[in-house]
Amino acid sequence: MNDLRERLDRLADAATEGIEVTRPDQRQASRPLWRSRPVLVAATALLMVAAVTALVAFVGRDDSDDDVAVGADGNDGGSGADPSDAVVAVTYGEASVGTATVDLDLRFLDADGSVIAERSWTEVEQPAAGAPGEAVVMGGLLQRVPAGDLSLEATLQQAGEPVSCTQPFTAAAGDRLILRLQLGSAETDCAPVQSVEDWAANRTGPSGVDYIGLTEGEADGRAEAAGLTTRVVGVDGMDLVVTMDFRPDRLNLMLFDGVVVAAQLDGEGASS
Amino acid sequence: MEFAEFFEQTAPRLLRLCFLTTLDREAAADAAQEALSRAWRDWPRVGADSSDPTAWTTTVALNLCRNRWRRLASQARLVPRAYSVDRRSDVLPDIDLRRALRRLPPRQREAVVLHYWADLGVDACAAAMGVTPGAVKQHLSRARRRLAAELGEPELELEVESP
Repeated sequence: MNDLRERLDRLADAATEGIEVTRPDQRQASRPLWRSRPVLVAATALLMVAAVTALVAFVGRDDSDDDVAVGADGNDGGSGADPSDAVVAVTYGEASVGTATVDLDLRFLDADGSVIAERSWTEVEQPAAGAPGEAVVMGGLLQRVPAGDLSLEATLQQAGEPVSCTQPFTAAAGDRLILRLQLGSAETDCAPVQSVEDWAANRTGPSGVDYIGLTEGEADGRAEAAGLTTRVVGVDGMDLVVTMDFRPDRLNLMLFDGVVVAAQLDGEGASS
Repeated sequence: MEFAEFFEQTAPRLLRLCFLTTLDREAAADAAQEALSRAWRDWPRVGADSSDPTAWTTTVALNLCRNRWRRLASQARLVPRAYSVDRRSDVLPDIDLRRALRRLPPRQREAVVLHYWADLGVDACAAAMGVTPGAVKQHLSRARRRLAAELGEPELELEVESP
């Protein structure tokens, strides 16, 4: 029992590292300032707005080519990723369809065979409501890996008999890859590699171009301002099951690593 | 006891408890924060001498964790966009334990965490979970069998006496 307690302790410590719970009385204490001193707060806010406006106007006059453009089409998408890393998503099975839970272990190895990360498919499985033993998966399993020659080792426990395979792949810095596991008899090439760009190819319409690179929340905000609704149809390499109804004001988003990689209105053709 | 003192003593443990029962950092932070906020809002009653604020907050937090779990499960069935990616899960230790806990039904996981991690006796577990001591023993018994099978270890012993 001590062993279990120690393991639970270690897991809880590691998982809650960096999470801060705010003391509610302190949070509350800072709140009433705008109520108790509304004139002071309003005046300060006006001054700040004026200062920012002046600064923006001043910066806006400088049309020099040396300015760094910050646009919505950047690929780093604010995810905070280390540019020397690549991001790999693993998918397995049919997307977002309730199936029996899968006992699938994944190990990412570097060229020397050292383990980069050990993952389990249970991390992306969510229990299917009202169906004990069944799960749905609403996206691929993401793993950040260093650039280089790597491999994915997958082991599926099936009726007591493990089925394993190893899929070598090469990741360059900044790559976004999808490994589609197809565990069966083959021991190699069991997880064909696809780039995110291929996955998302021809799935962005003219109305969706400006959404590429935004986070889901940013895309929602922009769509709402444009009188559109959004729905997510693909997450981290996995296509989600969606309804086939036609709504011309609905923007279908595909996300990878939290960022929009394709966006298309219902019924809209892909932009060339 | 002042709320500030109670918060300092309770918040880290409550956050860990919530994580172990949900295995989701975001859900754990939400539940712990909300439970402590409710305790503060109702502190004259919760913190009264005759009350046990730790037990009260634990019960509230467990309810919040459970409700979120149900909501997520139902969204997963009905709403295509209900998904979550735990960006720290690749650096968390003990994948075997995480998998074994994830496979336990929520009530069994609660019982295990309260009894074996939080050191609560069966009666205290029952109070925190809002079930009878018999139900706790049943949850623990089933969970022990599953954990023993999953982790390949001998079955854990049930400690009936409160620590």
